[in-house]
Amino acid sequence: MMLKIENLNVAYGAIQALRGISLEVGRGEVVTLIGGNGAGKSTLIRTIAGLVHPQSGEVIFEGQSIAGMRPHRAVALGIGHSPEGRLVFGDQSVRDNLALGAFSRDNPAEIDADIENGFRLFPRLRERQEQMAGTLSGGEQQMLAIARALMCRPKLLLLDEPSLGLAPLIVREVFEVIRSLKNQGMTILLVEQMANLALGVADRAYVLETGHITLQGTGVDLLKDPRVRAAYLGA
Amino acid sequence: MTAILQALASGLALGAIYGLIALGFNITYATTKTFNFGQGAFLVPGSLVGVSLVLLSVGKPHFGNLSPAEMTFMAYTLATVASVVVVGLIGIALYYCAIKPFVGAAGLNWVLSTIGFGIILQNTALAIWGPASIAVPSPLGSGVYRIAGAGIRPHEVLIAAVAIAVMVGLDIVLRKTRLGKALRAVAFNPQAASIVGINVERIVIIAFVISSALAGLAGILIAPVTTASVFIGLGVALKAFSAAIVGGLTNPRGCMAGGFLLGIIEALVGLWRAEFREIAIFLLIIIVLVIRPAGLFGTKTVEKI
Ligand SMILES: Nc1ncnc2c1ncn2[C@@H]1O[C@H](COP(=O)(O)OP(=O)(O)O)[C@@H](O)[C@H]1O
Ligand SMILES: [Mg+2]
Repeated sequence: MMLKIENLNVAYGAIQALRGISLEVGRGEVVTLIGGNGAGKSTLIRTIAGLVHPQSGEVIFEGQSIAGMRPHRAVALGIGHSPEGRLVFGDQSVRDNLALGAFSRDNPAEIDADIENGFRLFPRLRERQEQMAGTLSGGEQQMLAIARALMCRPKLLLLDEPSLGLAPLIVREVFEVIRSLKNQGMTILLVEQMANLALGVADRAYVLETGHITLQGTGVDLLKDPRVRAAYLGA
Repeated sequence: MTAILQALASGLALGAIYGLIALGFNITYATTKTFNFGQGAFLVPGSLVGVSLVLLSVGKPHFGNLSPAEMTFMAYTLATVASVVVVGLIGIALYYCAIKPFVGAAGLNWVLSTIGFGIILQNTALAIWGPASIAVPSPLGSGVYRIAGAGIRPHEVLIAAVAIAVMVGLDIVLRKTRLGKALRAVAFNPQAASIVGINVERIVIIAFVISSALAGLAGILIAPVTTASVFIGLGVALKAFSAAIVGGLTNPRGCMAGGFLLGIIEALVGLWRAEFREIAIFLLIIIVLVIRPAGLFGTKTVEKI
């Protein structure tokens, strides 16, 4: 297992956001976590990334306990994170955003090569490489956030709601890239409210409701599951 | 006319000092939304450490007066380096004692803690050096350059040149280097910076070291003008703070511009009526802030304090 989460409890003050979550992501797997607003999806991602420290439970990445580790350490271990809301550095150029994504690395030639890879993945970013990230459209910012997360050469890629606020056409473009990353063997934990798209690309999936995992299975199985269809697919 | 030229030169030198310290306020404010309210006290070791080193190097006790011959250019350069390094290191202590416990938390505890740290620093200096001031000769001597009939003191030129070089250097560092981009990333959003692998705390410490070192540099640069003493910092730092607010605390270039603006106005008004200098400056500050609450070049509204 690349990532193993055991009995994780996370709270913000009196608000219990995650209650006894257990979850696994295998090497080369795309796992998705679906659930409504406030279910605790981002909290789980942020805990893995080291932004939130759990009350109890284990987060094990490649056999090493990382619960409570500081975020830059998690990046150095190989956890790339495209956060909810993108959080691109608005006052810096697209190229500088990508270069900052490689902050944990130090071979300039390799970093330049990886920026090129990012541009191949998202050709629109190449056109806008000298533009300030804050002037990009929402879709372009999302692409930049994903490309930036890839710049640490992650072993595990965390994607928090990449479809948030984007037009359907752009969402499709972003998901095509997620699929091509999957085909290249990238391990991905994808958090989404757009359940149909996420389940379509995922090998396995978990359903999160108010801090509990209520269902799990293969992406295909959950797509057919009547409870999922009723709650998340509007069927 | 010659008097105005003379005043402009003094104003430029004074403004450069304000600008340096104001830039220090900007760097820590951008990264942490805090800055050192006790910054004035950081000029004190800035001037005294360097001067005492020169005194010791010529075999005198650490407190005493220097003859112009003893203040060679080399000695002054070494004194400057020593002051910058020592005060920069004090910035690390400032971070751990007065900033880290409060940063990110609600409230204004950091205001009091940084003032308190400054008072402790100043009183430590008082214990080491006592209350009297040391006359510090300029390494460029006490003569004047004659330019278009105006007598311009070489040390003022030195202050302006060093300060401008440091400002230009820092501006380039902030815009072009990996460290500068990381500093700006932390300033933009610390969480976003942390998830690309930036050690945010390290960057914040570097910001406080730079800010403190700038105050140290200001202290040693200004010493030949004001003398070196435990009491030189407060007034200068208050003007520098005003410069930062007028120029825009969120904009490094604005802070530098604010410094020069204040320095030059102060010198020009002083030419006319010395006692109106402060009145003019603080009136100007109030007018600027009424018209542009974020300062002349500021972007966001400054946090209410
Ligand atoms: N910084 C925070 N402070 C307090 N409560 C929070 C914070 N972030 C999230 N929460 C709460 O934790 C719960 C889970 O939030 P989140 O993980 O963001 O859900 P999701 O990503 O599934 O929409 C919600 O009840 C939310 O209000
Ligand atoms: Mg969320």
